[in-house]
Amino acid sequence: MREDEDPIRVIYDASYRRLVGQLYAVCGNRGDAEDAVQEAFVQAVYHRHRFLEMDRPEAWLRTVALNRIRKGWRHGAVARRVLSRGVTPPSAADFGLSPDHVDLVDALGRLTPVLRETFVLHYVVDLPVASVAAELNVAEGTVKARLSRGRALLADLLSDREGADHV
Amino acid sequence: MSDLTSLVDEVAQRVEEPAFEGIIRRARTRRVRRVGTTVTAVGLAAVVSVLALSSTSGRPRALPATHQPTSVAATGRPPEQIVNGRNASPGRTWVAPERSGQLVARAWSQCADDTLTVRECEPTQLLGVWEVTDAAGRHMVVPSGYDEGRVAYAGHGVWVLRPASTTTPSLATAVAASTSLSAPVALGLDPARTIGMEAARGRPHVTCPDAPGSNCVVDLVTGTLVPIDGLPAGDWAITNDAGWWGVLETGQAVVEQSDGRLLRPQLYELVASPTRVFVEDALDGAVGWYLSNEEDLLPTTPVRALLSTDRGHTWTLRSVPETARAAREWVTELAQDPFVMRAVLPDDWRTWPVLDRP
Repeated sequence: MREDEDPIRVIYDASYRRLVGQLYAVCGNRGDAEDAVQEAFVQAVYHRHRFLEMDRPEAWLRTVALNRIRKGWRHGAVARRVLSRGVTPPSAADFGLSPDHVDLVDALGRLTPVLRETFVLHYVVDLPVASVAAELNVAEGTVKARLSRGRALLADLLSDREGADHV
Repeated sequence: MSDLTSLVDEVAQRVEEPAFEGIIRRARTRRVRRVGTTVTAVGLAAVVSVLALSSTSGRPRALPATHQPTSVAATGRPPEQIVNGRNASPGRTWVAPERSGQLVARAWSQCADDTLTVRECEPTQLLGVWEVTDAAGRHMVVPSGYDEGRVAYAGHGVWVLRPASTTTPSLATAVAASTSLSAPVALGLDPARTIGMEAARGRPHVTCPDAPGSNCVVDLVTGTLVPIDGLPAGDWAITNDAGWWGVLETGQAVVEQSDGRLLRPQLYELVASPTRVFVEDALDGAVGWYLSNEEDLLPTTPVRALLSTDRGHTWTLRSVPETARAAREWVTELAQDPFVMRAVLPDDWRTWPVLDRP
Protein backbone atom coordinates (compact mmCIF):
# COMPACT_ATOMS: atom_id res chain seq x y z
CA MET A 1 0.00 0.00 0.00
CA ARG A 2 1.35 3.40 -0.93
CA GLU A 3 1.47 5.74 2.05
CA ASP A 4 -0.71 8.30 0.30
CA GLU A 5 -3.37 5.60 0.02
CA ASP A 6 -3.19 4.80 3.70
CA PRO A 7 -6.72 5.09 5.13
CA ILE A 8 -5.29 6.36 8.41
CA ARG A 9 -3.64 9.20 6.52
CA VAL A 10 -7.04 10.13 5.10
CA ILE A 11 -8.45 10.25 8.63
CA TYR A 12 -5.36 12.13 9.77
CA ASP A 13 -5.79 14.80 7.11
CA ALA A 14 -9.48 15.16 7.89
CA SER A 15 -9.38 15.04 11.68
CA TYR A 16 -6.01 16.15 13.04
CA ARG A 17 -6.67 19.88 13.20
CA ARG A 18 -10.19 19.49 14.50
CA LEU A 19 -9.02 17.14 17.25
CA VAL A 20 -6.24 19.49 18.29
CA GLY A 21 -8.82 22.27 18.53
CA GLN A 22 -11.08 20.13 20.71
CA LEU A 23 -8.27 18.93 22.93
CA TYR A 24 -6.95 22.45 23.24
CA ALA A 25 -10.33 23.52 24.55
CA VAL A 26 -10.06 20.76 27.14
CA CYS A 27 -6.50 21.28 28.33
CA GLY A 28 -5.75 24.88 27.33
CA ASN A 29 -2.21 24.10 26.28
CA ARG A 30 -1.04 23.84 22.70
CA GLY A 31 1.81 21.45 23.34
CA ASP A 32 -0.29 19.08 25.42
CA ALA A 33 -3.11 19.11 22.87
CA GLU A 34 -0.85 18.41 19.93
CA ASP A 35 1.11 15.74 21.81
CA ALA A 36 -2.11 14.00 22.82
CA VAL A 37 -3.55 13.95 19.31
CA GLN A 38 -0.29 12.83 17.76
CA GLU A 39 -0.03 10.07 20.33
CA ALA A 40 -3.56 8.97 19.46
CA PHE A 41 -2.58 8.67 15.79
CA VAL A 42 0.56 6.76 16.73
CA GLN A 43 -1.68 4.36 18.63
CA ALA A 44 -3.97 4.14 15.61
CA VAL A 45 -1.07 3.19 13.36
CA TYR A 46 0.29 0.83 15.98
CA HIS A 47 -3.08 -0.91 16.26
CA ARG A 48 -3.87 -0.37 12.58
CA HIS A 49 -6.23 -3.23 11.93
CA ARG A 50 -8.21 -2.82 15.10
CA PHE A 51 -8.44 0.91 14.46
CA LEU A 52 -9.70 0.50 10.92
CA GLU A 53 -12.41 -1.85 12.09
CA MET A 54 -13.95 0.85 14.25
CA ASP A 55 -17.22 2.46 13.37
CA ARG A 56 -16.20 5.87 14.71
CA PRO A 57 -12.45 6.23 14.40
CA GLU A 58 -12.40 9.94 15.26
CA ALA A 59 -14.25 9.24 18.51
CA TRP A 60 -11.68 6.60 19.36
CA LEU A 61 -8.85 9.02 18.60
CA ARG A 62 -10.46 11.63 20.80
CA THR A 63 -10.85 9.15 23.64
CA VAL A 64 -7.21 8.09 23.42
CA ALA A 65 -6.11 11.72 23.32
CA LEU A 66 -8.33 12.59 26.27
CA ASN A 67 -6.90 9.68 28.20
CA ARG A 68 -3.44 11.03 27.62
CA ILE A 69 -4.49 14.43 28.85
CA ARG A 70 -6.10 12.86 31.91
CA LYS A 71 -2.97 10.88 32.56
CA GLY A 72 -1.03 14.10 32.48
CA TRP A 73 -3.44 15.56 35.00
CA ARG A 74 -3.01 12.55 37.20
CA HIS A 75 0.71 12.77 37.09
CA GLY A 76 0.54 16.29 38.23
CA ALA A 77 2.47 18.22 35.65
CA VAL A 78 -0.53 19.54 33.81
CA ALA A 79 -2.59 19.61 36.97
CA ARG A 80 -0.24 22.04 38.56
CA ARG A 81 -0.52 24.28 35.55
CA VAL A 82 -4.28 24.01 35.42
CA LEU A 83 -4.71 24.55 39.12
CA SER A 84 -2.41 27.51 39.39
CA ARG A 85 -5.41 29.73 38.96
CA GLY A 86 -4.81 33.40 38.50
CA VAL A 87 -1.14 32.79 37.86
CA THR A 88 -1.12 31.09 34.49
CA PRO A 89 -0.65 33.57 31.68
CA PRO A 90 -3.27 33.30 28.94
CA SER A 91 -2.09 30.20 27.20
CA ALA A 92 -4.30 31.04 24.23
CA ALA A 93 -1.35 33.12 23.09
CA ASP A 94 -0.04 29.75 21.93
CA PHE A 95 -2.05 30.16 18.78
CA GLY A 96 -2.23 33.93 18.58
CA LEU A 97 -5.95 33.76 19.21
CA SER A 98 -8.33 36.67 19.23
CA PRO A 99 -8.81 38.43 22.60
CA ASP A 100 -12.30 36.94 23.02
CA HIS A 101 -10.94 33.47 22.63
CA VAL A 102 -8.06 34.19 24.96
CA ASP A 103 -10.63 35.14 27.60
CA LEU A 104 -12.63 32.03 26.88
CA VAL A 105 -9.62 29.72 27.18
CA ASP A 106 -8.67 31.46 30.39
CA ALA A 107 -12.18 30.93 31.75
CA LEU A 108 -12.26 27.31 30.66
CA GLY A 109 -8.97 26.80 32.44
CA ARG A 110 -10.62 27.82 35.66
CA LEU A 111 -13.16 25.02 35.46
CA THR A 112 -12.26 21.68 36.94
CA PRO A 113 -10.94 19.16 34.40
CA VAL A 114 -14.10 17.04 34.45
CA LEU A 115 -16.36 20.03 33.95
CA ARG A 116 -14.23 21.26 31.08
CA GLU A 117 -14.13 17.85 29.45
CA THR A 118 -17.88 17.40 29.77
CA PHE A 119 -18.47 20.87 28.42
CA VAL A 120 -16.28 20.40 25.38
CA LEU A 121 -17.72 17.01 24.48
CA HIS A 122 -21.23 18.39 24.56
CA TYR A 123 -20.87 21.88 23.18
CA VAL A 124 -17.86 21.53 20.90
CA VAL A 125 -17.91 17.94 19.75
CA ASP A 126 -21.68 18.22 19.71
CA LEU A 127 -22.31 14.90 21.38
CA PRO A 128 -25.76 14.44 22.93
CA VAL A 129 -25.91 14.03 26.68
CA ALA A 130 -26.34 10.27 26.43
CA SER A 131 -23.21 9.94 24.29
CA VAL A 132 -21.19 12.15 26.62
CA ALA A 133 -22.35 9.99 29.52
CA ALA A 134 -21.27 6.87 27.66
CA GLU A 135 -17.94 8.35 26.67
CA LEU A 136 -17.16 9.48 30.21
CA ASN A 137 -18.73 6.43 31.84
CA VAL A 138 -21.05 8.47 34.03
CA ALA A 139 -24.80 8.71 34.40
CA GLU A 140 -26.71 11.12 32.16
CA GLY A 141 -27.80 13.00 35.25
CA THR A 142 -24.17 13.58 36.15
CA VAL A 143 -23.53 15.05 32.70
CA LYS A 144 -26.53 17.35 32.96
CA ALA A 145 -25.44 18.49 36.40
CA ARG A 146 -21.92 19.19 35.16
CA LEU A 147 -23.20 21.14 32.17
CA SER A 148 -25.44 23.19 34.38
CA ARG A 149 -22.64 23.89 36.81
CA GLY A 150 -20.22 24.65 34.00
CA ARG A 151 -22.62 27.09 32.35
CA ALA A 152 -23.11 28.94 35.59
CA LEU A 153 -19.40 29.11 36.31
CA LEU A 154 -18.49 30.24 32.81
CA ALA A 155 -21.20 32.87 32.78
CA ASP A 156 -19.83 34.15 36.06
CA LEU A 157 -16.23 34.11 34.86
CA LEU A 158 -17.08 35.86 31.65
CA SER A 159 -19.59 38.27 33.11
CA ASP A 160 -17.35 41.21 32.40
CA ARG A 161 -17.27 40.32 28.75
CA GLU A 162 -19.81 41.56 26.32
CA GLY A 163 -22.02 38.69 25.26
CA ALA A 164 -20.70 36.45 27.96
CA ASP A 165 -24.15 35.12 28.67
CA HIS A 166 -24.20 33.65 25.19
CA VAL A 167 -21.17 31.47 25.74
CA MET B 1 -22.00 28.01 22.87
CA SER B 2 -20.96 29.43 19.52
CA ASP B 3 -17.89 30.98 21.16
CA LEU B 4 -16.60 27.54 22.03
CA THR B 5 -17.16 26.28 18.52
CA SER B 6 -15.47 29.28 16.99
CA LEU B 7 -12.55 28.86 19.39
CA VAL B 8 -12.02 25.33 18.17
CA ASP B 9 -12.38 26.45 14.57
CA GLU B 10 -9.82 29.21 15.07
CA VAL B 11 -7.37 26.83 16.71
CA ALA B 12 -7.90 24.29 13.94
CA GLN B 13 -7.10 26.93 11.34
CA ARG B 14 -3.88 27.85 13.07
CA VAL B 15 -2.61 24.37 13.77
CA GLU B 16 0.26 23.18 11.64
CA GLU B 17 -0.28 19.56 10.82
CA PRO B 18 2.97 17.59 11.17
CA ALA B 19 3.91 15.18 8.42
CA PHE B 20 2.03 11.92 8.62
CA GLU B 21 5.29 10.09 7.94
CA GLY B 22 6.46 11.20 11.38
CA ILE B 23 3.49 9.46 12.96
CA ILE B 24 4.27 6.31 10.99
CA ARG B 25 7.89 6.45 12.09
CA ARG B 26 6.95 6.78 15.75
CA ALA B 27 4.56 3.85 15.52
CA ARG B 28 7.19 1.69 13.82
CA THR B 29 9.77 2.54 16.44
CA ARG B 30 7.32 1.65 19.18
CA ARG B 31 6.36 -1.55 17.47
CA VAL B 32 9.92 -2.75 17.60
CA ARG B 33 10.54 -1.40 21.08
CA ARG B 34 7.46 -2.84 22.70
CA VAL B 35 7.63 -6.08 20.83
CA GLY B 36 4.78 -8.50 20.93
CA THR B 37 3.31 -7.08 17.77
CA THR B 38 3.59 -6.84 14.02
CA VAL B 39 3.63 -9.72 11.59
CA THR B 40 0.64 -9.52 9.37
CA ALA B 41 -1.57 -12.57 9.09
CA VAL B 42 1.32 -14.64 10.23
CA GLY B 43 0.31 -15.26 13.83
CA LEU B 44 -3.21 -16.22 12.93
CA ALA B 45 -1.92 -18.87 10.60
CA ALA B 46 0.42 -20.06 13.32
CA VAL B 47 -2.53 -20.42 15.69
CA VAL B 48 -4.18 -22.55 13.08
CA SER B 49 -1.19 -24.75 12.61
CA VAL B 50 -0.63 -25.28 16.33
CA LEU B 51 -4.27 -26.01 17.01
CA ALA B 52 -4.49 -28.38 14.12
CA LEU B 53 -1.58 -30.27 15.52
CA SER B 54 -2.70 -30.30 19.12
CA SER B 55 -6.40 -31.11 18.89
CA THR B 56 -7.87 -34.55 18.69
CA SER B 57 -11.33 -35.83 17.96
CA GLY B 58 -13.70 -35.51 20.86
CA ARG B 59 -11.44 -32.85 22.26
CA PRO B 60 -11.70 -29.13 21.78
CA ARG B 61 -11.76 -28.56 18.09
CA ALA B 62 -9.23 -26.86 15.92
CA LEU B 63 -9.88 -24.12 13.45
CA PRO B 64 -11.03 -25.23 10.01
CA ALA B 65 -8.30 -26.64 7.84
CA THR B 66 -9.08 -24.12 5.14
CA HIS B 67 -6.70 -21.68 6.81
CA GLN B 68 -3.36 -21.93 5.07
CA PRO B 69 -0.10 -21.84 6.95
CA THR B 70 2.07 -18.89 6.12
CA SER B 71 5.60 -17.83 6.77
CA VAL B 72 5.55 -18.36 10.52
CA ALA B 73 4.66 -21.95 10.07
CA ALA B 74 7.22 -22.08 7.31
CA THR B 75 9.93 -21.18 9.77
CA GLY B 76 9.22 -24.48 11.44
CA ARG B 77 9.95 -22.96 14.80
CA PRO B 78 7.85 -24.36 17.63
CA PRO B 79 6.18 -21.54 19.57
CA GLU B 80 7.71 -22.94 22.75
CA GLN B 81 11.11 -21.93 21.47
CA ILE B 82 10.12 -18.31 21.25
CA VAL B 83 9.52 -18.00 24.99
CA ASN B 84 12.92 -17.26 26.55
CA GLY B 85 14.41 -18.13 23.20
CA ARG B 86 17.55 -16.63 21.79
CA ASN B 87 17.11 -12.88 21.43
CA ALA B 88 13.41 -13.19 22.32
CA SER B 89 11.82 -10.30 24.18
CA PRO B 90 8.93 -10.30 26.65
CA GLY B 91 6.18 -7.77 25.94
CA ARG B 92 3.01 -6.79 27.73
CA THR B 93 1.88 -8.74 30.79
CA TRP B 94 -1.68 -9.31 31.95
CA VAL B 95 -2.34 -10.46 35.52
CA ALA B 96 -5.64 -12.19 36.23
CA PRO B 97 -7.75 -10.55 38.96
CA GLU B 98 -7.26 -13.48 41.33
CA ARG B 99 -5.99 -13.07 44.87
CA SER B 100 -3.05 -15.35 44.18
CA GLY B 101 -1.88 -12.85 41.57
CA GLN B 102 -0.07 -15.69 39.85
CA LEU B 103 -2.16 -16.34 36.77
CA VAL B 104 -0.37 -14.38 34.12
CA ALA B 105 -0.45 -13.99 30.37
CA ARG B 106 2.56 -12.49 28.68
CA ALA B 107 3.33 -11.58 25.10
CA TRP B 108 6.70 -12.60 23.63
CA SER B 109 8.33 -11.99 20.31
CA GLN B 110 11.40 -13.10 18.48
CA CYS B 111 12.91 -12.53 15.08
CA ALA B 112 12.64 -15.31 12.53
CA ASP B 113 16.39 -14.88 12.21
CA ASP B 114 17.27 -15.51 15.82
CA THR B 115 20.72 -14.05 15.40
CA LEU B 116 18.96 -10.71 15.34
CA THR B 117 17.35 -8.98 18.28
CA VAL B 118 13.77 -7.83 18.07
CA ARG B 119 15.03 -4.28 17.65
CA GLU B 120 17.14 -5.29 14.70
CA CYS B 121 14.45 -7.42 13.11
CA GLU B 122 12.41 -6.50 10.07
CA PRO B 123 8.83 -6.19 11.29
CA THR B 124 7.66 -8.81 8.82
CA GLN B 125 10.07 -11.30 10.36
CA LEU B 126 8.83 -11.00 13.92
CA LEU B 127 7.20 -14.03 15.51
CA GLY B 128 4.83 -13.58 18.44
CA VAL B 129 3.31 -15.82 21.09
CA TRP B 130 1.32 -15.52 24.28
CA GLU B 131 2.57 -17.47 27.27
CA VAL B 132 0.04 -18.31 29.97
CA THR B 133 1.48 -19.38 33.34
CA ASP B 134 0.19 -20.30 36.79
CA ALA B 135 1.52 -20.51 40.33
CA ALA B 136 2.61 -24.12 39.87
CA GLY B 137 4.90 -23.14 37.04
CA ARG B 138 2.75 -24.78 34.38
CA HIS B 139 2.45 -22.91 31.14
CA MET B 140 0.84 -22.94 27.73
CA VAL B 141 2.05 -21.14 24.66
CA VAL B 142 -0.25 -19.86 21.92
CA PRO B 143 0.94 -18.09 18.78
CA SER B 144 -0.27 -14.54 18.66
CA GLY B 145 -1.11 -12.67 15.53
CA TYR B 146 -0.36 -9.28 14.17
CA ASP B 147 -0.34 -6.84 17.07
CA GLU B 148 -0.78 -7.94 20.66
CA GLY B 149 -4.36 -8.95 19.94
CA ARG B 150 -6.99 -8.91 22.61
CA VAL B 151 -6.62 -10.65 25.93
CA ALA B 152 -9.47 -11.20 28.37
CA TYR B 153 -9.54 -13.19 31.56
CA ALA B 154 -12.66 -15.36 31.73
CA GLY B 155 -12.23 -16.78 35.22
CA HIS B 156 -11.32 -20.26 36.43
CA GLY B 157 -7.86 -19.89 34.97
CA VAL B 158 -9.12 -19.48 31.42
CA TRP B 159 -7.89 -16.73 29.12
CA VAL B 160 -9.61 -15.83 25.88
CA LEU B 161 -7.06 -14.66 23.35
CA ARG B 162 -7.93 -13.06 20.06
CA PRO B 163 -5.10 -12.60 17.60
CA ALA B 164 -5.37 -9.39 15.68
CA SER B 165 -6.99 -10.02 12.35
CA THR B 166 -6.04 -8.67 8.98
CA THR B 167 -9.72 -8.73 8.09
CA THR B 168 -12.93 -8.08 9.96
CA PRO B 169 -12.71 -9.77 13.36
CA SER B 170 -14.12 -13.22 13.34
CA LEU B 171 -15.15 -15.27 16.31
CA ALA B 172 -13.25 -18.10 14.71
CA THR B 173 -10.00 -16.37 15.65
CA ALA B 174 -10.62 -16.55 19.40
CA VAL B 175 -8.65 -19.11 21.37
CA ALA B 176 -9.07 -20.28 24.96
CA ALA B 177 -5.87 -20.96 26.86
CA SER B 178 -5.36 -22.34 30.32
CA THR B 179 -2.59 -24.19 32.06
CA SER B 180 -5.16 -26.82 33.01
CA LEU B 181 -5.84 -27.65 29.37
CA SER B 182 -3.73 -30.02 27.34
CA ALA B 183 -3.96 -27.75 24.31
CA PRO B 184 -5.42 -24.38 23.33
CA VAL B 185 -9.05 -24.48 22.30
CA ALA B 186 -10.24 -22.68 19.19
CA LEU B 187 -13.52 -20.90 19.88
CA GLY B 188 -16.25 -20.51 17.32
CA LEU B 189 -19.82 -19.32 17.64
CA ASP B 190 -22.84 -21.54 17.37
CA PRO B 191 -25.44 -18.91 16.47
CA ALA B 192 -28.34 -21.24 17.23
CA ARG B 193 -27.26 -21.93 20.78
CA THR B 194 -27.65 -19.97 24.00
CA ILE B 195 -27.27 -20.84 27.66
CA GLY B 196 -29.42 -19.75 30.59
CA MET B 197 -28.17 -17.51 33.37
CA GLU B 198 -28.22 -20.21 35.99
CA ALA B 199 -26.52 -22.77 33.82
CA ALA B 200 -23.87 -20.20 32.99
CA ARG B 201 -23.14 -19.32 36.60
CA GLY B 202 -19.72 -20.33 37.84
CA ARG B 203 -18.39 -20.93 34.35
CA PRO B 204 -15.73 -18.94 32.51
CA HIS B 205 -17.29 -16.07 30.64
CA VAL B 206 -16.26 -12.98 28.72
CA THR B 207 -17.88 -10.10 26.96
CA CYS B 208 -19.10 -11.53 23.67
CA PRO B 209 -16.70 -10.45 20.94
CA ASP B 210 -17.99 -7.48 18.99
CA ALA B 211 -21.09 -7.31 21.18
CA PRO B 212 -20.34 -5.05 24.15
CA GLY B 213 -22.84 -5.45 26.95
CA SER B 214 -23.57 -9.07 26.19
CA ASN B 215 -21.78 -11.97 27.78
CA CYS B 216 -20.76 -15.39 26.49
CA VAL B 217 -19.83 -18.54 28.32
CA VAL B 218 -16.58 -20.12 27.21
CA ASP B 219 -17.52 -23.73 26.49
CA LEU B 220 -14.23 -25.58 26.43
CA VAL B 221 -15.82 -28.92 25.58
CA THR B 222 -17.50 -27.83 22.39
CA GLY B 223 -15.07 -25.01 21.60
CA THR B 224 -17.75 -22.35 21.44
CA LEU B 225 -18.59 -18.97 22.87
CA VAL B 226 -22.21 -19.30 23.91
CA PRO B 227 -24.33 -16.17 24.47
CA ILE B 228 -25.97 -16.10 27.91
CA ASP B 229 -29.71 -15.86 27.63
CA GLY B 230 -31.63 -13.67 30.09
CA LEU B 231 -28.64 -11.83 31.49
CA PRO B 232 -29.48 -8.12 31.29
CA ALA B 233 -27.13 -5.99 29.26
CA GLY B 234 -24.34 -4.59 31.38
CA ASP B 235 -20.96 -5.35 32.87
CA TRP B 236 -20.77 -8.43 35.06
CA ALA B 237 -18.25 -9.66 37.58
CA ILE B 238 -16.22 -12.74 36.78
CA THR B 239 -16.63 -13.97 40.34
CA ASN B 240 -20.14 -15.35 40.30
CA ASP B 241 -20.16 -18.72 42.06
CA ALA B 242 -22.70 -17.26 44.51
CA GLY B 243 -24.68 -15.55 41.78
CA TRP B 244 -24.33 -12.91 39.11
CA TRP B 245 -23.59 -9.33 40.07
CA GLY B 246 -22.67 -6.31 38.07
CA VAL B 247 -23.74 -2.96 36.71
CA LEU B 248 -26.54 -2.59 34.21
CA GLU B 249 -26.23 -0.29 31.23
CA THR B 250 -28.25 2.23 33.22
CA GLY B 251 -25.49 2.38 35.81
CA GLN B 252 -27.61 0.57 38.36
CA ALA B 253 -26.11 -2.16 40.53
CA VAL B 254 -27.62 -5.63 40.39
CA VAL B 255 -26.92 -8.64 42.59
CA GLU B 256 -28.49 -12.04 42.08
CA GLN B 257 -29.95 -13.62 45.21
CA SER B 258 -29.93 -17.28 46.16
CA ASP B 259 -33.46 -17.67 44.79
CA GLY B 260 -32.44 -16.27 41.42
CA ARG B 261 -34.08 -12.91 42.02
CA LEU B 262 -32.10 -9.88 40.89
CA LEU B 263 -31.74 -7.34 43.68
CA ARG B 264 -31.22 -3.82 42.36
CA PRO B 265 -29.92 -1.68 45.20
CA GLN B 266 -30.04 2.07 44.75
CA LEU B 267 -26.43 3.11 45.06
CA TYR B 268 -26.02 6.77 44.35
CA GLU B 269 -22.27 6.54 44.84
CA LEU B 270 -22.02 3.95 42.10
CA VAL B 271 -24.20 5.80 39.62
CA ALA B 272 -22.46 9.10 40.26
CA SER B 273 -18.95 7.75 40.07
CA PRO B 274 -17.24 8.31 36.75
CA THR B 275 -14.96 5.36 37.37
CA ARG B 276 -15.63 1.92 38.73
CA VAL B 277 -13.44 -1.13 39.06
CA PHE B 278 -14.97 -4.50 39.88
CA VAL B 279 -13.50 -6.25 42.91
CA GLU B 280 -12.98 -9.88 42.04
CA ASP B 281 -12.13 -12.96 44.06
CA ALA B 282 -12.69 -11.09 47.32
CA LEU B 283 -12.38 -12.67 50.72
CA ASP B 284 -15.71 -13.65 52.34
CA GLY B 285 -17.54 -13.30 49.04
CA ALA B 286 -17.56 -9.54 49.18
CA VAL B 287 -18.89 -7.82 46.09
CA GLY B 288 -18.43 -4.21 45.08
CA TRP B 289 -16.31 -1.68 43.30
CA TYR B 290 -13.48 0.73 43.71
CA LEU B 291 -14.80 4.18 42.98
CA SER B 292 -13.37 7.61 42.56
CA ASN B 293 -15.31 10.80 42.65
CA GLU B 294 -15.72 13.09 39.70
CA GLU B 295 -12.51 14.89 40.56
CA ASP B 296 -10.62 11.66 40.15
CA LEU B 297 -8.36 13.12 37.53
CA LEU B 298 -5.90 14.36 40.09
CA PRO B 299 -3.38 12.18 41.90
CA THR B 300 -4.56 13.36 45.28
CA THR B 301 -8.15 12.27 44.67
CA PRO B 302 -9.49 9.91 47.32
CA VAL B 303 -10.30 6.39 46.21
CA ARG B 304 -13.22 4.63 47.85
CA ALA B 305 -14.46 1.08 47.95
CA LEU B 306 -18.19 0.34 47.93
CA LEU B 307 -18.62 -3.17 49.29
CA SER B 308 -21.27 -5.62 50.41
CA THR B 309 -20.84 -8.95 52.16
CA ASP B 310 -24.53 -9.92 52.19
CA ARG B 311 -25.29 -10.05 48.49
CA GLY B 312 -26.15 -6.42 48.14
CA HIS B 313 -28.56 -5.91 51.06
CA THR B 314 -26.21 -3.64 52.98
CA TRP B 315 -23.22 -1.68 51.80
CA THR B 316 -20.29 0.17 53.29
CA LEU B 317 -18.36 2.92 51.61
CA ARG B 318 -14.77 2.88 52.75
CA SER B 319 -11.79 5.06 52.11
CA VAL B 320 -8.94 3.26 50.43
CA PRO B 321 -5.83 4.32 52.33
CA GLU B 322 -2.85 5.60 50.47
CA THR B 323 -0.88 2.67 51.86
CA ALA B 324 -3.07 0.29 49.83
CA ARG B 325 -0.92 1.00 46.83
CA ALA B 326 -1.96 -1.94 44.71
CA ALA B 327 -5.61 -1.06 45.07
CA ARG B 328 -5.01 2.56 44.15
CA GLU B 329 -2.85 1.73 41.17
CA TRP B 330 -5.64 -0.31 39.64
CA VAL B 331 -7.89 2.71 39.80
CA THR B 332 -5.42 5.29 38.58
CA GLU B 333 -4.71 3.23 35.48
CA LEU B 334 -8.41 3.14 34.66
CA ALA B 335 -8.57 5.50 31.76
CA GLN B 336 -6.11 3.46 29.75
CA ASP B 337 -8.62 0.77 28.95
CA PRO B 338 -12.12 1.28 27.64
CA PHE B 339 -13.29 -2.17 28.71
CA VAL B 340 -14.44 -3.50 32.07
CA MET B 341 -11.84 -2.94 34.74
CA ARG B 342 -11.25 -5.57 37.39
CA ALA B 343 -9.08 -5.65 40.46
CA VAL B 344 -8.54 -7.68 43.57
CA LEU B 345 -9.45 -6.60 47.09
CA PRO B 346 -6.74 -6.89 49.75
CA ASP B 347 -7.70 -9.21 52.59
CA ASP B 348 -7.38 -6.43 55.16
CA TRP B 349 -10.02 -4.23 53.55
CA ARG B 350 -12.14 -4.35 56.72
CA THR B 351 -9.56 -2.15 58.42
CA TRP B 352 -10.20 0.65 55.92
CA PRO B 353 -12.08 3.59 57.43
CA VAL B 354 -15.84 3.53 56.89
CA LEU B 355 -17.09 6.71 55.25
CA ASP B 356 -20.74 5.87 54.92
CA ARG B 357 -23.31 3.11 54.97
CA PRO B 358 -25.49 3.98 51.99
